[in-house]
Amino acid sequence: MALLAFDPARLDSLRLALAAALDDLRRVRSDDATTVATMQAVRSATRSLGDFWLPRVSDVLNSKAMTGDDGPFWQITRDPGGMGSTASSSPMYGPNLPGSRSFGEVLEGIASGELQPMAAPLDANGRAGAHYTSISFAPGAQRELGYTDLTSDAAKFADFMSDGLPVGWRENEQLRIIYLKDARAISSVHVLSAYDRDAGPETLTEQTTEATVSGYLVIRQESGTAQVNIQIGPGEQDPTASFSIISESTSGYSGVFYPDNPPDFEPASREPRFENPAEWTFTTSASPMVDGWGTWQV
Amino acid sequence: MSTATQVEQLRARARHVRSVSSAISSSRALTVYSLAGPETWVGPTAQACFDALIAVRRQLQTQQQSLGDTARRLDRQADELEQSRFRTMAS
Repeated sequence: MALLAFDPARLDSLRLALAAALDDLRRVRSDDATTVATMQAVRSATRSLGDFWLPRVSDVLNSKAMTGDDGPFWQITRDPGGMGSTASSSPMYGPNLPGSRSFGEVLEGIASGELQPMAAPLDANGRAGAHYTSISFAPGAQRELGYTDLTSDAAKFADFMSDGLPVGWRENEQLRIIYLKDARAISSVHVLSAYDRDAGPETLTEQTTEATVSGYLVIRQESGTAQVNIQIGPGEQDPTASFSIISESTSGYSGVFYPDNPPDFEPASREPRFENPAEWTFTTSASPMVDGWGTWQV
Repeated sequence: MSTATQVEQLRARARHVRSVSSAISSSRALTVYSLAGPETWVGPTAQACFDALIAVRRQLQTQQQSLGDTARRLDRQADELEQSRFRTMAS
């Protein structure tokens, strides 16, 4: 089955442009003898655009995409076959099509080296007063390609056994891949010094740079919960029915961004503007420098 | 029909042909192909559409050139007729 990959927003622009072109062509009129060939060409173009391509583009836009209707991303549908097209079984969309990779294809691309990570943030290497950088991502539109559970069997066993025990430990680890489209990547420069872990380190704002990037964000998220439980009710009870009296949670993440194209960082604008908040911030330090920050690694 | 009328008709036809050429050159049919590339869609139909729109553009541009030549030819005929009329009047 031949497939067709398309960007719905751009394809809709094409539909409107075809309608406008058709409108322009219909306004071209002449009955002069010297323009016979021209008018034949105009009529031919009008038929091609109006009778074939405009309906065909509309059909694709109205088709039930295999990838669902989840935003301004590439969608895949069955190719209806076009004028002069060959419904061959050759690949219809290349591996470099932005955002078209599946979860597995991204992992394969990383393993084969086809997907290259964005340059890692600079590390201060523990030297007081040295500069280091953090990279934040403020997504515009994003699509989650999928996730896989990386929780170890031992952790799952501990989770299972925690049910009904006075002290329990639950741990969860996931690998997620998210495609970010036109996200704002902010590279901030900091000085390694003592700082409030909640407020974060001082930022040298005049050295902040930013770029608009699209690509795959691969994130490993970990969470753990320690619980102290008491059994519900006196005497013989369901051993799994317990009530948590103390619960302490920890969470963290690490990740790497694989851009579609090398980002072009430029000095950040100081002009007041509407901006999406940064959702992920990474440094290369061994442990997150600030609550909510992650480590640049997978 | 007088020569002056013929000259005027030829010039009117040249103007009309130029207006047709101008309508084609400003038509969005010449630029619509730029929205049909692989950044919009990819697949056999997409490629066929892009090829067809490029063919339409080429066809219209050829006609546009041809219309320009026609308009110049009509103007030249008008000039020649006018000159012959002046020569006749002078003699």
